[in-house]
Amino acid sequence: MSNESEVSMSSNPGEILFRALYRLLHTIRIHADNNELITSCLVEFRSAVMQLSGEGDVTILSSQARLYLQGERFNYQKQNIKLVHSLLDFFKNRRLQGISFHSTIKNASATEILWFFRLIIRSGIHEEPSDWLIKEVEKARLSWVTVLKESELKPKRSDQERKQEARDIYFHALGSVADVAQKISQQGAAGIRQAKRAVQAMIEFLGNDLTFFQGLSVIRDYDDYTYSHSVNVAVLALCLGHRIGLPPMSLQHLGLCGLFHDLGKVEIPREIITKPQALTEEERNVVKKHPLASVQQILKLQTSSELTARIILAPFEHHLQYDLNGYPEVFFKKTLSLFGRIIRIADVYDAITSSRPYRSAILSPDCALALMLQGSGKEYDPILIKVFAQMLGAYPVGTLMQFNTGELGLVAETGNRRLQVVLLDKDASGICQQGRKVDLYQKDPLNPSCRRAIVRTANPLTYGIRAADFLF
Amino acid sequence: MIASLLYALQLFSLYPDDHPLGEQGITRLHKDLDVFTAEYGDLFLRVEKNQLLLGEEVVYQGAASEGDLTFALSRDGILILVVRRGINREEVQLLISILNRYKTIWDESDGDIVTALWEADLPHIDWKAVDAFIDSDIDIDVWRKKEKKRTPVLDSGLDLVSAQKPEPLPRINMLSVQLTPEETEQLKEMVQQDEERDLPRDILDMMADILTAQQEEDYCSTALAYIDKMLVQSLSEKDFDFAAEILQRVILLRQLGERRWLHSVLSTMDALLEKISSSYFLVPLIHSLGTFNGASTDSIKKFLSLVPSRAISALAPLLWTSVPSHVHSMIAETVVLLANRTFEPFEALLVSAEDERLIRMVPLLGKMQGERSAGVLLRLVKHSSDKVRKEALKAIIVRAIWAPEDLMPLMDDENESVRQIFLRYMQSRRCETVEEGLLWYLQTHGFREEEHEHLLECFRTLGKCGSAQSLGFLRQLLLGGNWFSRLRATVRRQGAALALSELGLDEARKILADAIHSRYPGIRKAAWAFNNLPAAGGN
Repeated sequence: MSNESEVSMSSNPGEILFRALYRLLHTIRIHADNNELITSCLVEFRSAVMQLSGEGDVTILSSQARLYLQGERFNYQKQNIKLVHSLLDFFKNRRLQGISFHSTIKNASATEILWFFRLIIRSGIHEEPSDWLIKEVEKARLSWVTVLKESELKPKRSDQERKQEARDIYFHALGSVADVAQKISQQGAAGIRQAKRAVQAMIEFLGNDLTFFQGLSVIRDYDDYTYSHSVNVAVLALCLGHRIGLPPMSLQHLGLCGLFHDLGKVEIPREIITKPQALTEEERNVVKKHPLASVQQILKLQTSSELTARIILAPFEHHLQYDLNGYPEVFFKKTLSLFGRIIRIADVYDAITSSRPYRSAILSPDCALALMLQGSGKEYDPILIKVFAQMLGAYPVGTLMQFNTGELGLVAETGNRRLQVVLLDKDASGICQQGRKVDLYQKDPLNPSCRRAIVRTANPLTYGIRAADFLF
Repeated sequence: MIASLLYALQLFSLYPDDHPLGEQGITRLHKDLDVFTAEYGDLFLRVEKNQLLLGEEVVYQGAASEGDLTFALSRDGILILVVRRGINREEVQLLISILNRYKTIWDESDGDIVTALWEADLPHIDWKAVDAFIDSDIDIDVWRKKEKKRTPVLDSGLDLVSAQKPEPLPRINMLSVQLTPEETEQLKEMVQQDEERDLPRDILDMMADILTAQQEEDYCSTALAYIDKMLVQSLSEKDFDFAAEILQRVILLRQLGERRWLHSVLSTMDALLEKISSSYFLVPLIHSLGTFNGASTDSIKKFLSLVPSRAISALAPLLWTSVPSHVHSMIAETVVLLANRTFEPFEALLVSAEDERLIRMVPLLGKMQGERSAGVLLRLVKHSSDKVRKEALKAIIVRAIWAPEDLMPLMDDENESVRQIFLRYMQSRRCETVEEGLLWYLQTHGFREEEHEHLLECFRTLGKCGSAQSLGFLRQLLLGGNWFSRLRATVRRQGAALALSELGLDEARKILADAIHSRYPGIRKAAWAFNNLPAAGGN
């Protein structure tokens, strides 16, 4: 966590405080309270707080993948990106919204302050870290600090509101990519204002609700497969990008890569795209050209050359494997770009979990992921594919499950020791209806004796079930 | 405060960046915002059709036309614009620059006020905007309806156990996807490296791959057009290292594509190379080098060394224009280098050049290599212009071209300076051809009185390049003649003594000793005279 170059001098009081906090959190993990380094870090931290507080409080908040100090967003630069991400991770892993240090910290003993920081670190191993921490702080009567829980500052939106917003964002994105494709095809040029707006909205949404956002990719529109696939790839890529700590601007570029990676497919005759039989050699060659065609289309976008440069590589690379096999054939390229590797993973995952005319079997999301993991290091970046699997979980959103109880369910949310499933009830006429949402890791309050075990999983599309109808 | 905002916007749009008046507007707005937020807290401006409202009060009534601030804010769906207390001057400047830049946008714009504010991520500026695009071509509802019109799922016999075929597919072991500490570190580095990735070089690789793997004109033309653009951009940014890399790649691709590409693609590539070699492209570039940083010299030279040799016809004429000396020598070096690679363009220039230009070009031949340029020099020593002949001879000497048969006529050149240079060069080594030529020249040629210096120099040369073969001739000249003539130390007799002394042979020394002890004063005087002659110059 520590790096000497990171702890450079800064004149910005906010940055001084964050660096002091970072150092203290790191040092305290290694050394005992009486260590000299700890003492100096503590002095540094306390003076940074005092410098900012005057007679008031100093409040650090973490929200939407950003740090706030005294209510103002901390505008970080490239050189302190690691510091900020590290602190954001620290807060996120403990589900902490923030900490408020009161001016009375000047009277607090060193032992008390160190005790508090050790508590924060330890809270990470508890089921409800912030609840546990608040209780411990109360027990210890630490009056100079207030721990803010995630829910305290953020008004919770209803599920319905979140779904509606998610759908709006999804369809904006879908509309914008279709618009760009059509304009390029008809006019030979297109602006990307609307696509940018859509991606920015996606990034803001995922900052608030990552788990919910990644489930968006279950929305599929097979009339316009290419467009909905593009949006799905953008969704999955953004989630992965966010997970690995890409800054917002990079996420914007990654999102645009996702939206535009298949722009070249617009030029492929529809009869080839929708052909139910295996493609001929000639047809395959036509399809194999689409990454090049995507490059060509992206060059027609009306945007700055800097932005073009940022988004053009991944569409070219998205059918290239990690070991550079695949297509198009490359001679000069030595490595794939990070965006290219991310888009490839998102692209393959969405493709193999989608229903396509030429494919008889549709993999269930969990099987698709497991299969992809087998290609780690050869087809996919070995680290990114792991992060992707962690992100989606053992049972990704949209997986259809059959339980030992005979019930069917669709995975609706995963993560944070949760596996929320929407039960599918069949009515008298056999139509699937949306049932209750249950957490497989929790006992069902309506039926406490029932503990559901997964018997099988499948892709809902195999059975004509459109997950989005039940989840969004 | 609003007036201050509009004033700052107006000045910003009227004057270039960093203009004092523009700066003044920003400073004033920053001050006003500071005063306002200090007194009233954060500034919340609501945007309604063509109006800005502070609370319920309309503080600005705009117009429903392009270019108006409220029109632009409404167009982009902004409902509220918030300026937080503590905003700094740089943020104010950025805000004004964004508002100005996107005051008017066209249909196919690459962004708007909202996208720009999002990208700028200003800590003290917040906004709320509607998601729907006003005036958008996209009808989102169409997409929603398409999604909704689906028939509900009807599957009476849904039973996974019976329906699903057994799948021998793997399942995920979540423990196996946990990152090791090393992988976590690698991931952080990966992200960091991506932020610093050298995109232009990656794109160059990509375009090169497209050109290498494809034979379709369309893709190749796209790739070439992009490479062309990259090259122009790198040069305009004075990134000569990258420009050289691009050019190097283009040349390699041209070679690789020779047998693969369609004729049209080859033509496009050649057109690109033609453009790079043209005056239209190179002259402005060279003129822009007047103020270049000395540290970039190697990069510039590297780039220029890669341009096709036909660029000589664009570069060489710059040598007779007023360019700074460092640029002049760089052009000269480049021309030499390019001519060494392919000589024809330089030769063509020589052929068409007037004497004055020729005189400036000939020294470059002295720095070149190869038989063709040497041949040209040997032809130029026969040029009608004294100056050209002289420069050509100098160039020959610089290159140490030893072609006595071709150069011998210069022994009798009408220009004294040329003769001198020639003879001094011939003095540089022993050479039978030169010796024979000189013997013939001295035996057959008559010299006027004013040519005595030249005559002596010819003897010196004979001595320096000759051999025992000349002894007879020299002995005869020094010791021979009738008794009357032996009374006088003629120039020829002195020359013979000089040549003998330069020969350095025992036999020659013996002849000289005989001459010194001769009873004829003319012979003795000639033998002694060479000692009084000025020491021979270098060659």
